[in-house]
Amino acid sequence: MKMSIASCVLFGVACSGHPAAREVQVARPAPTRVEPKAIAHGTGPSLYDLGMSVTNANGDQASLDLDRGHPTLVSMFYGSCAAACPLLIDTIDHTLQQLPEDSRDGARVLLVSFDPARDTPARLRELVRAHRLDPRWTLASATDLDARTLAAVLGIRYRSTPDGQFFHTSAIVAIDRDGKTLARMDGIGDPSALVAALSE
Amino acid sequence: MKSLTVLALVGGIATAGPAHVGPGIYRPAFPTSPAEREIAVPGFWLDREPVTNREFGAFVRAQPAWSRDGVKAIFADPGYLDGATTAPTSAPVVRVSWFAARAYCAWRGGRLPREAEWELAAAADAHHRDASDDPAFQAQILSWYARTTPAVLPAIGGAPNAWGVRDLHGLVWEWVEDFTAALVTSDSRDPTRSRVCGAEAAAAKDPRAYATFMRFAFRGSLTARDTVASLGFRCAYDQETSP
Repeated sequence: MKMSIASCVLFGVACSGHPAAREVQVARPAPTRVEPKAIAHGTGPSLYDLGMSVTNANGDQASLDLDRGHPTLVSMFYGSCAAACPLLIDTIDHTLQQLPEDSRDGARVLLVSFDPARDTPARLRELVRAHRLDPRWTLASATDLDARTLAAVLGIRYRSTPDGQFFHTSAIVAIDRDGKTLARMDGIGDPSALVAALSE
Repeated sequence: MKSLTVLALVGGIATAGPAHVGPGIYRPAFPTSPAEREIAVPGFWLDREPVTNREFGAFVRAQPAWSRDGVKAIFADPGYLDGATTAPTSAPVVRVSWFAARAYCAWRGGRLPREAEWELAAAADAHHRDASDDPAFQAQILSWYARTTPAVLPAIGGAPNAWGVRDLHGLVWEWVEDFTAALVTSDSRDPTRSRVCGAEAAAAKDPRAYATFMRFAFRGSLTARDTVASLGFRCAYDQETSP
């Protein structure tokens, strides 16, 4: 179990309780009937109603609903960002790691760049390699017009600056199998609401 | 009301087609970074008047996906086009979401103006392209901000400004493409910290800053599917178009 003290605090796991008692419980779970998995349902309109397409790391046009059928973490970024974006990727990675095992494989991540000029498919592939992102992750870019639309729906604000950087807020939105919102996290912080939303 | 409508139409015919605005320098009252005290705005075309109920009605008939009953919930709140069918046809269309405004402009071969473009156009009074430092002009704008929106909006057709654009002030607020951008600054990864916080506006000494603050604060309060009874829009174009 690779849980640090920090994540104990973050996720409300009892660190100083009675580890022995916990281990017994974990080691010998009561035999239970296998229940069908609870499927989480989000609220509000579906992100997939945007009917938008994005350019993926292979250079293909892909529908925004490419992960339909999977609970998905959606966010936006720009690849040349030095500070906040690696942190965003780390936070999502950390969120996936916190998921119960049977929810982990089914979860997906969709990161859409609002910097299509620089985040070319080749650059997106580089990012996938550099961060060792597994196939659950999709990195893509959207046109300026579509990026504004998606950002507006996700509640992410950004603007380009004269020196070619972007000022932006960060948010990670968890959506259900049909694109409806389950939970969101504004800024980069404690992802426990996202973990809970994607745990089935 | 009928005579007002006729006047507005006569005004519209006299100067057909969008007005050319810029190039110019937009000087934000609240620069978002030291490099942005002066923003060069390339020339563009801008609708001379806000989009009217008649014009938006034609769009909705052509694209039923944007009708009141047809619009997807992700694109507009439940107040979308509320009252539009009974509103004067030459009054600005209001209760349109940002998504709907963009769809309309795309249908017309244009786009929403960016904030810097809108502000550049709106800095002109009747005779000067940049009247932003004129206290009388600013006082006029602020006096409009202080009034409540009438239940029935008057028709478009105010006096043109130095660019030939009408009704940027005095009728309705208007959507801009990057309406969320104003609040994002270099030190505000945290969206609750913004450059137009009340304290900063109160500390601002010149009235230019206060009028701008009102617009930024209003835009910053919006989300893209919001519809508001005092919020309309007009379109911008990158090339000269014949409407």
